[in-house]
Amino acid sequence: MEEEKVKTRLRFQKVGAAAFISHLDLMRTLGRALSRAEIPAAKTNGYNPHAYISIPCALSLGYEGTREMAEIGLPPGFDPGWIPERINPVLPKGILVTEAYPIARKSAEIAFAEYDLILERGKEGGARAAELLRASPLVVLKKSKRREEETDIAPLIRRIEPAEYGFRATVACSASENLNPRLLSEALKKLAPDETFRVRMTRRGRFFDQTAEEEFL
Amino acid sequence: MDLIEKYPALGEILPTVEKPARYIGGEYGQIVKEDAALSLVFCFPDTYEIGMSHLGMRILVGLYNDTEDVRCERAYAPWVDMEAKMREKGIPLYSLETGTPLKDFDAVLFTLQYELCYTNVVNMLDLGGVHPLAAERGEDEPVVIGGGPCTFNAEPLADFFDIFIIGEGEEVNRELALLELACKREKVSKKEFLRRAAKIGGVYVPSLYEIGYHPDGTLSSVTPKDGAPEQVTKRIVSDLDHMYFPKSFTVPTTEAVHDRAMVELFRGCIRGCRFCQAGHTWRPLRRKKPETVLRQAREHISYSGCEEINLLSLSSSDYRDLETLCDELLEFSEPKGVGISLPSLRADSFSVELLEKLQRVKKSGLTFAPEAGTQRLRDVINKNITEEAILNACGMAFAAGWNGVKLYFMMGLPTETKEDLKGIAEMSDHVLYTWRQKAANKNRGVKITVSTSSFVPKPFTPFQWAAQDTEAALREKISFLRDNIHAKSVAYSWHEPKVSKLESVFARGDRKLGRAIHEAWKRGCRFDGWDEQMKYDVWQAVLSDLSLDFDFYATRARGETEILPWDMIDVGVTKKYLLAGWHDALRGIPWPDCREKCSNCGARRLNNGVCVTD
Repeated sequence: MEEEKVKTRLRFQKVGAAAFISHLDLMRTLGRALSRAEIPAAKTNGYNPHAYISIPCALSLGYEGTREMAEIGLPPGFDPGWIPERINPVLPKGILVTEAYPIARKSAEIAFAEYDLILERGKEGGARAAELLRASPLVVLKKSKRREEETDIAPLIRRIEPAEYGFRATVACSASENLNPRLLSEALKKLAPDETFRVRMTRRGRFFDQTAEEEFL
Repeated sequence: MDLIEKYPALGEILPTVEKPARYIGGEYGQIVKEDAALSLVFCFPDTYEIGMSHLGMRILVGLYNDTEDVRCERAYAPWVDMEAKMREKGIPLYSLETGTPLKDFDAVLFTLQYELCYTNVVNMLDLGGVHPLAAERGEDEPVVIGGGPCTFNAEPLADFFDIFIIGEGEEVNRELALLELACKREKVSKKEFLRRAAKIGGVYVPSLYEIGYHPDGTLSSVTPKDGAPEQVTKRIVSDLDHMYFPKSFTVPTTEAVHDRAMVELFRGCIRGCRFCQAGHTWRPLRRKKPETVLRQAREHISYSGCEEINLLSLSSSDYRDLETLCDELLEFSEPKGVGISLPSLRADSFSVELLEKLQRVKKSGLTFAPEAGTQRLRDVINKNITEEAILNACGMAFAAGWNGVKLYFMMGLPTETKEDLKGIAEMSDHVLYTWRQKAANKNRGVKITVSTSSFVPKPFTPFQWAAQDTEAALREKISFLRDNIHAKSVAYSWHEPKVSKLESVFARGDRKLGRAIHEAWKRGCRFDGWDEQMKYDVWQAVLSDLSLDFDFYATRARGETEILPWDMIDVGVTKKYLLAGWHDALRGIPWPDCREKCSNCGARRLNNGVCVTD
C-alpha cells in the first residue's frame, strides 16, 4: 500500500445467513463493493491487484457479528463519512456498514472480544453456564488442524454474565492470546455432559484493553 | 426473509457442511420479485460455483425477471454432504432468493450443459418435491423445461422433461413463458399447454414423439403426434446487438469457478473442427459490434465490481476488431485494475503485443489447443493449425517473458495411431527446444503442461458416426504417451477415461437410457462428472440389470443410414454436410474455414440466408 493513504476503519454488521460467508469471501465481497461504490480504496501491488482490506481477528464461520471491523486505505481528503450510504446499497444481504472513520488506535492493541451466546435454554441455561464456567482451571481439548492439546482456558475468560437469552462472555482476543468461544461450549459439554447447551453466537465487539473505558471498536 | 428464519434447521446444518455460502443466497444483484403471476425457478444441475460462472443463466434469469408478470429465481445442486443433511432434516431444495421449494413454482427450468449432470437433474427435482418422471407428475406440479447444448440430443432425459428448448433462448424463453402465463389464466390442462407449446419454433415436446426400435436396439421410426412438427428447428437470435442482455447480474458472494464479468463477442465459429459440437450447433455466424461489446462490458464491470472481464466466443482471435476493442476496453478497465481475459486464442493468429497489453493488468498463463500430435491427424479433425504456428507463437511468448505453456490434446480421435501419440510427445519436446532458443530469462525454468482428454463423439458433428475407443484402448494410449514424454519440464496430465466413456453413452444416447438414469440416481449416483463422485461400477450394474450396453452407445460406429436419436432436431447444419465432412475426415482432407470459402453447411437458412463471416 502506498504511504500517503489514510488508514480508515469500517464498522459493519454481518448477520443472518451472511454469518456463513467465510473470512476470505468477505474480504473479496467488501473489495468488490468498494469498487462498485467507486470508493477509491488503495490496492495491493501484486500479481492480481485487488483492494487492500484487513479484517483483524477473523470471525469464525457461522457466527454473527454486530460490530465487526475492516480496514482500508483511502486517499487524503476523501471523507469517510460518505462510505456507509455509498456502499450499503451494493452489499449482499446481511452485511451493513454502519460507520467509517480514520483509525486512531491500531487493531493490534485489541485485547478482548465480547460474545453473546444465545442458548436454547435461555435465562436458566445462561445462569447454569455462568456457574459452570467459573471453574478454574478450566481444561478443554483444543483441536487445531495439526494437533490436539489440553489447554486451561480459565485465564482467557475475563467475564461471564448471565442474560435473558443465555450469557455474554468477554474473552481474550489478541495476537498472543485468543479464545474461540466455541471452546466455551466444549467446556460446558465436558463439565455437564448430560445437559444441552446448544448455542448461536454473535460477536458484539472488541475492546482495546481492560483499564480504559470499554471502548467498542 | 432470511433463509435461516424460514428453515431454522439450516442454522444447524450449515456449520457442518463444506462451503455453506453456496446455500445462503442474498448475493448482490439477486432479483426478488415476489408477486408475479408466473413463477419460475432456473436450476443449474451442478454446484453453485459452476452455475454462477455460466453466462447463459445470467442472461436468461435477467430476461425472465425483465418480463412483466414473471419472476425467476435460482437453484443449484447441493453437494452430497448438504443433500444428505437436507434429507435428514426434511428441508426441500429451495430457491436462493425466497427459499421457495421447487414444487411451488409454475415451471422448473434446467440448463443442460454437460451430459454427466443428468442424475443431478433427477435429484434436484426429487429434493425439490417434484416427481422426476414427467408421466407421473400431476396437473398441479410444475412444468419441467430444459435448454442448453445437451438438448441437441436430450433423448436420454425425455422421461423427465415436459419441454426442451432447442437453440438460443433470448426470444423463445419469453414466448414460452407468456404462453404458460396465458394457459395458467385460461386454466387449460398441462397436456393442452404442451400441445400449444409445440407450435412455438424451437420448442420440442418429447412426449409428442413416439420412438420405434429395431430388434438390435437402433431406432426404426420417429413419429410425431398431435400436430407436433416432424422436425424442430433450432432457434437463433439474428441481431446480437439488439437482443436482450441484462444490465446487471447476481454477483456470487463466494468464489465461483469463473468469477468475473462476461460478454460475448460473437456466436458460431468459422473453423469447423470436426469433433466440435459447439462449432457446428451455434452456426450461423453472428457478431456483436465492438461498440455493443464495449458498452456491455463497461456496464458489467461497473455493476459487479469484478476484477476481470472475459470476452467470450468459440475462437476469440477470429473476431476482426479484437485488438482495437481490447485497446478501448483497457482504457476503461486498466485504471480500475480490471483485467481482460480471452479464452480460445488460436496459435496461428496469435499476437504477443495484444497479450502483453492484457498482462499489464492481470497476468495469465498461455494455453494452446493443437488437439492432435501430427499434421495428418490435425487434417483429419480439420484443426487447421500447423506445428510451425504453435512453435512460432510459443517462441514469441517465451521471448516476451512467459515461462510456461499449456497444450491441450485429444486422445482416441478417429484414425489415430501410435505415430500421432508420439507426435504429441515430440511437439512438447519442440516447444521445450523453442524455449531454450527464445526464452528471455532462462533462470526461472519452464513448465510445459500437456493435457489429454478422451475424444467423445457428439451429435451434429461430422464425427457423430464415429466409434469411441474402448476404455482399455484409451488407458493403453495414456500410458504409451506417458512413457514417451521424457523431459522433466514437461508435465503430463490426462482426463479419466471412465468419465469420458459415460459422457459418450449419454451424448449419443436414446430414450432407453432414461430408465438407467432414474435407476442410477436411486442407487446413489450424483455428480457423475466429478471423478471422486462417479460410481462407474454402479452405472455398469444398472445398465446390465436393464439389459442395456455401454458399448452399444459408446464404442459402436453408427451406420450412415441409421436413424439417429436426434434426427427430429434440425440445428441448421445439414446431415449431408456432416456426412461429407466425415468422409473427407477419413481421407484426411481438411476444409477451408468459412471466411476463406463457404462450405454450404446449411445453417444460414436459419438467419434468412445471412451468415456474417467477417
